[in-house]
Amino acid sequence: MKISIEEIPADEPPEIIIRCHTIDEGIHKIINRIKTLEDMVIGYQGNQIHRVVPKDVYYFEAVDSKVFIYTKSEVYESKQKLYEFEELNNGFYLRTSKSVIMNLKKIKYVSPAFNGRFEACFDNGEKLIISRQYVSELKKRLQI
Amino acid sequence: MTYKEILRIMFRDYFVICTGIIICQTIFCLIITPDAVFTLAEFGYILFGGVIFTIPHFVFCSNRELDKNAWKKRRILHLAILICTILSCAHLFGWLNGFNLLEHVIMIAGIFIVYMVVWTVDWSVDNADSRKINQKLKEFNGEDGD
Repeated sequence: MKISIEEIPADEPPEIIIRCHTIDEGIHKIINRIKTLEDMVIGYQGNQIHRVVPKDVYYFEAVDSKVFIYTKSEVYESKQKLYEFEELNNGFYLRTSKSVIMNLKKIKYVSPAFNGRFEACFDNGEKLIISRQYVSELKKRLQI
Repeated sequence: MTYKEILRIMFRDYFVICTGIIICQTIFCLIITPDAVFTLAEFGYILFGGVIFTIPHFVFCSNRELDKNAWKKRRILHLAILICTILSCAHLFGWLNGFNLLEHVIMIAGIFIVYMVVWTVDWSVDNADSRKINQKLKEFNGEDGD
């Protein structure tokens, strides 16, 4: 199979074109592989590089200009900026404070944390605060 | 909370505190001195006191979000500083006569009751909100069967 790469101007969105005779099982596999790779989040643990499935992420946190990815039991460092994770296109992620983006799918429940703030309890038992100024965005997302 | 948020809350609470002082003084005078007459200067003291009594809000300043326990501790510290500040101002403005124990106890009880009422109302509103959020979270998390 011939692979061609064409460099394009910065203002054009990147695009993958597959030229084939028939759309068979192999082509579907390639498409699924590309889609999966596109949705992966890259995390670092020391010298190791991990691909993390976004739906397994509990929250992203920025600490001292570093961004960390928290899954059920692992913590990875990311080279991406925190705001980039807000753009993950599955709609489950929401900024809940200046330094945290949470996966709403992993929140078990919230409880009042005084002064208009809430404490989100994740299904792994971890608890994080939802800032007062982001509560309205949470309500909007949940259509309250 | 950041300084900016604290200043915004201080502005809002200024009016809550002024109202609180008027309620406390009304109850206090009804019990101790029912014939008391308030002068213009005394109303000025209340408005000035409102500014002074919002200053302890700075105990909530933090660069990181305070968790529930840290918030509770700062709340208690805030209440203690607030009682000390109000008692100091009460002596300065002549709201209290000398060191009459009963007057002090009633004033502290008044501050405590107003503080707890405000806290309880806040908590009730937040609790109702959390129930709605939890209900919607259940629906949201059930949507994709995840």
